[in-house]
Amino acid sequence: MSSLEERYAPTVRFHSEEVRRREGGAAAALVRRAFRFAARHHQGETRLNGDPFLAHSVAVAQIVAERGGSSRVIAAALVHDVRWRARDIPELAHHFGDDVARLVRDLAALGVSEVALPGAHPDVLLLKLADRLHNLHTVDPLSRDVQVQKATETLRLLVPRARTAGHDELGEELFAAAHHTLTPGRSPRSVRPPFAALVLRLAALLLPAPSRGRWLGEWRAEMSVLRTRRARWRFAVDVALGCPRMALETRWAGTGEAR
Amino acid sequence: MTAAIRNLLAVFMAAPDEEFYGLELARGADLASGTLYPMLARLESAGLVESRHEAPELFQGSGRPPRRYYRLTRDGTQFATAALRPRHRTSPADVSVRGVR
Repeated sequence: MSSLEERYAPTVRFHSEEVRRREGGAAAALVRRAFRFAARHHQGETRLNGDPFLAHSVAVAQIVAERGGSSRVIAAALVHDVRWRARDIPELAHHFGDDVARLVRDLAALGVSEVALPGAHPDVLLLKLADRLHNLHTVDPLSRDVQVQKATETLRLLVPRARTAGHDELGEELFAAAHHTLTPGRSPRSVRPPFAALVLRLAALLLPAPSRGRWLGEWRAEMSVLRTRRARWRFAVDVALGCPRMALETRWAGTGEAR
Repeated sequence: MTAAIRNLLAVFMAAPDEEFYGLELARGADLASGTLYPMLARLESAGLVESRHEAPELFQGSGRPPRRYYRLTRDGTQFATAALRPRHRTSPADVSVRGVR
C-alpha cells in the first residue's frame, strides 16, 4: 500500500464496511477497488492548494456515502477525476461495470446550467453536488473572480436544485459554503446542532483541561456524522453520562495529548 | 477483565491491522459511547491502543473537526490474544452473549 493510500485507507474502509452491511461483500469490494485504482492514478498529483489530489476523490466519495449513495455512486466518486477520455469509458466499464462508467461519463458531461433541468439522473446529480461542495470548501487558491463565479452559480442553480431533489442538507451545506466564499469572515460555516454540542461541551468540563480539547473535538466529529437528531442527542447524552468515569481515567493516566 | 472490554478487544481483533472510529467500535462491541470512551482512554494510556486524527484535508473548509481512528498496538494485540483465549468453558460466543447490555 502506498503511503498516500494508507493515509486515506481507514476512511475508505469505514465507508466500504457500511456498504458491505447494506449491499454485501461484492459491493464493498467495488468501493475498495475503485479507491486503489484512484490512488494509483492520482499518485504524485496535487491540487492547487497543495493537497494530494486523491484527497478530493475521497472527500467527494465521503460526502456521497454520507448521503446514502450506493456503492456504484461511491465508486464513481472515487474515480471521477481520473483523466478519462471518451474512448476510455469501455475500460472503465471493464473495471467497474457499466453503471459506474455511465455515472462518470454523465457527470463529466453535465454542465452546471443543465443541473437545473429536471432530466438529470439523481445519482449524477448527487455526484455533481458533492463535487461542488468539496470544491467550494477548497476554493481558496483560486482567483477571486473564479471564486465569486463558482459561489454565485452555486447559489443560483445548485442550491435550488438540491432542494427540489430532496437533498435538503446538502443544499444547506452548499448554501453555507457559497455564502462563506462570497462574504469570508462572516458566519462561520455551520456544521450542525448547537444543543447536543452544548451538552458535550458542558460534560467535557469534567475532564482535566489538557485532555478536554482532544476529546471534545473527537466527540463533535463523531456526532457530526450521525444522520438523525435523535442519534446525535443519544450520543451526546451517552457521552455525558460517561464523563465522570472518563474524568477518572484521564486524571489518573494523564493521557489525552493529541498526537 | 469485564465482558465489555473483551467485546471491544474482539472488535479490534477481527481486523488487527485496521483502524476504527469510536462509533464503529461502540456499535461493533455493542457499547454505549459513555462506556466506550473511558475504556479507550484507559487502553490508550496503557499503551495497548494508539490513535491518530484522520487526514485533515478531507474536511478542509467544511467546519467539521477531524475524526480519530484507533488501532491496537503490538502490545495490545498480544494482550487481546491472551484475553480472548477461551478459558474453562467460556467460549468467545458466550462472551458476546453475556455482553454488557
